[in-house]
Amino acid sequence: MKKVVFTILIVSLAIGLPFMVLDFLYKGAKEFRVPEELEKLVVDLGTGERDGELLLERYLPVPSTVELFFQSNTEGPKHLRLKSEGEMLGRTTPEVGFVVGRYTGTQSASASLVLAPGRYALYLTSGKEEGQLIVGYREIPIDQAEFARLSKIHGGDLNNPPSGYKEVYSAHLAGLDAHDEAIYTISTEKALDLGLSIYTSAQQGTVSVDFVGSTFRFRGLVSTEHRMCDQLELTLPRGEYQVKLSCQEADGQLYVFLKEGP
Amino acid sequence: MKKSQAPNTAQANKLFFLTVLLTIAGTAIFGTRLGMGTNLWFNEFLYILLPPLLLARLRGWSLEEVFKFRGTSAKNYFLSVLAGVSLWAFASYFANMTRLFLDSTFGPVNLTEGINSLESSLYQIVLFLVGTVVLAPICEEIFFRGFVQAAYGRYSPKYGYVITAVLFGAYHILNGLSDVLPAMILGAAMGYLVYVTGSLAASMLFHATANLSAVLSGLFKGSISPYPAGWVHLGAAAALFLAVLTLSQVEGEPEPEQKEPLGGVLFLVLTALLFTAAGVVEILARMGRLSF
Repeated sequence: MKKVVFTILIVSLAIGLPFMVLDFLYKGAKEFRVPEELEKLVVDLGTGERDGELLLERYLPVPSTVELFFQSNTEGPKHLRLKSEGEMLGRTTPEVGFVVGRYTGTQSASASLVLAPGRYALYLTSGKEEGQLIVGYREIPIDQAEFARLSKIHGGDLNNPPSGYKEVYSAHLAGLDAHDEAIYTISTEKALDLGLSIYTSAQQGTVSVDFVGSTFRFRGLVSTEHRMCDQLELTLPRGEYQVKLSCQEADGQLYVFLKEGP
Repeated sequence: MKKSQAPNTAQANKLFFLTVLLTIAGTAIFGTRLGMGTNLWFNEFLYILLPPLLLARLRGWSLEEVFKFRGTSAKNYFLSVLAGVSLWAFASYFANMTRLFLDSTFGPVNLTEGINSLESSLYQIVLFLVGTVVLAPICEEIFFRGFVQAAYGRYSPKYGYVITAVLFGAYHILNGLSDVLPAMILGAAMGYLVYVTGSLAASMLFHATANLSAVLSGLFKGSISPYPAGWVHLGAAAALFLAVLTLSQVEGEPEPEQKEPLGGVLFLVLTALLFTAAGVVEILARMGRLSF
């Protein structure tokens, strides 16, 4: 038996070592890939530790969607915090945090936030490491009517879907106890363009809405911290998909709207 | 002075402490840099397999005799596979229930970093799969059932495998609190197989079967609800019953061991402190008081 065991170990090593080398080379070839349309800010993390250092300060004259994109080639956690003078639609407080690890190549952290006019700023807390943090950002002004619609939802008037979206589920969450419960199912025999808008006014307890397919799971599309998921557009291959709700000791309401087709 | 022809608990406790320390430090320093698959290989080969083999070499121990590198009957192999599948099913259910309890009591834990490293490369996926199904059953069985159990069998001839199972379960706190009790249950079954059959091959086969079941079930994880339906509770109880029934059919005669005192208690206490710290860190992370 000794021979068999050591033969297995040696054969495993003979196969595994080339895989480790190939993986190492694959990682080494990775670079930053910031989408061209974004403004780019490069932070040299090797210059020292940072404790809430201001990285970026901008002024929005009109309501805008702010798109953010982060990549870094260092291991340590980089804590970024975006604070806005005006309202951040869909969020309890006008600030949001991100933790960025080693994300290069196709890996990145990103977010899209709807901000009211005013200043917003991005702060960084990080250790001293040889490497860089890349921040990509873009501001896209929002049409006044569209901002008014989103502001209504932010204020608790959830039944304000975008044009073409139809309500498929709504519920009062108080007293509702659901564990990963399918609240809507879509079956399609061919590729389908789908738009998903989910809003909640819950401010307490646990609320999480997931969108689940056979090969993926979008987790926490809305929660008590992040209460709006507006016009998430996907092209789905044939198959069955479910909107699933987990909810305990929550308050407020939940609305789910769908749009099928382009 | 004549060297002992088998490990004692002092050596087992010292080496166990060293292995735990190396696993924690190695994973903390190299884990994300190496990726989840390569890191598993480092853990299994360098921190788990190498120390007992080096000690055996230095002491001139026979691997066949001391670590029970022996085969067993075809019936025992078959029963090991059957018990591996059924007890894994119960242990997996138990781990899921524990995870749900921890999630609802302390909050969920975010492990996306490790998952990202796996998703990023096909090489990492292959290394992780081979490491889980082939290397872990061999390396961990040599360390725990071969080395530690041989030592604790001399401290408690009848319950040495139970103590080893507790250490094996505690070691899995490094994978998360929810893995501790399920690993203890699986460890007790594997220890019992070695205790009764006198063969490490039976426990390696059990371990490989259980890990393969875990890998295969992982493929369907996204489509399985973590909240079990009523039949799942009954199924888990049936799986446990089947595993116990299967293990009771395993044939063999436990070898008599001479009782010796417990040694290396200080290292056992230090290891327990490391495990306690790991558990506290996980709970604080779940409560959002620590982030990585």
